[in-house]
Amino acid sequence: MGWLLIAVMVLSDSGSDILMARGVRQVIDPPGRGLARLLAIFRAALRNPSLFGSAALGTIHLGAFLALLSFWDLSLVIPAAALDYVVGTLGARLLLGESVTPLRWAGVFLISAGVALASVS
Amino acid sequence: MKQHGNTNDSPPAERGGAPKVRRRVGVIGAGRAALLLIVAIALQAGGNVCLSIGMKQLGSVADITPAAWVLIGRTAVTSPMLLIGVACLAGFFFLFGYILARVDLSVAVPVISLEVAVNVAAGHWILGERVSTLHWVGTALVTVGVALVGLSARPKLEHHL
Repeated sequence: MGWLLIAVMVLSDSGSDILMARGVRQVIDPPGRGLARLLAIFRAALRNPSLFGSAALGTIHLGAFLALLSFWDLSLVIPAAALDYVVGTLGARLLLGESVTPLRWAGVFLISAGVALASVS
Repeated sequence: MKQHGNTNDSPPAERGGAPKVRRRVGVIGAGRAALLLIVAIALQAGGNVCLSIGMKQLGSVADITPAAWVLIGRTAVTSPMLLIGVACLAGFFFLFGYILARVDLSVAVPVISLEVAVNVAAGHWILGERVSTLHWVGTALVTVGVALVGLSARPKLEHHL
């Protein structure tokens, strides 16, 4: 159950970030100036499906995090939650075809090894 | 446009005295940046400790029905520890945004990645969780890994700031 919730946490967090990035780009540049422009951004954000989906996935992420904390140690949940960097990088490379720098691959490797060590101990 | 970037330039010389060199790590001084980063990490770890205490007071939600989850959700919004935890994390969120706008990413990202180790330390010393040597080694690897991933995103982030 614990690792299932970690998977839910990681996937919902990555999904929320992707939808947030897409939604913000869609609503951030309406016409107008000053307060009218701010209100236009706010109205567009409320009607934007990507931002709505991002908020929903963010809520699922928080729920899974809280559920995990009810029966797992904080000292295991936090390192394990860093797996979202691994999933995010793999998703960017495999799904979006983005280039990944050697520095980022090194970070992903260290995170994976670190989570493995922390969890087996 | 605001000055942004690594600047080691000294302030104007004081009248009649030697110029006072003050180290800067962005658009604010190193001392203020360090203080803000310490407060941010403390808020994040403190918030997680409060959430952990609050959720363990509610009891394990590993093997229960969705209806029971709804009940726990209702109980959770009245739990002082959970409310304090959420407030701390909200404070961290806004403070980190403030820091990112004022401190060089090459400084902010590695320092803030220490939150992984600080959370594990808080779990061990405040919550009394057992943390083995292997677990500490794993935590150190994750901390360095998070810093490297954060630094690899630096050019893109700086482009957007």
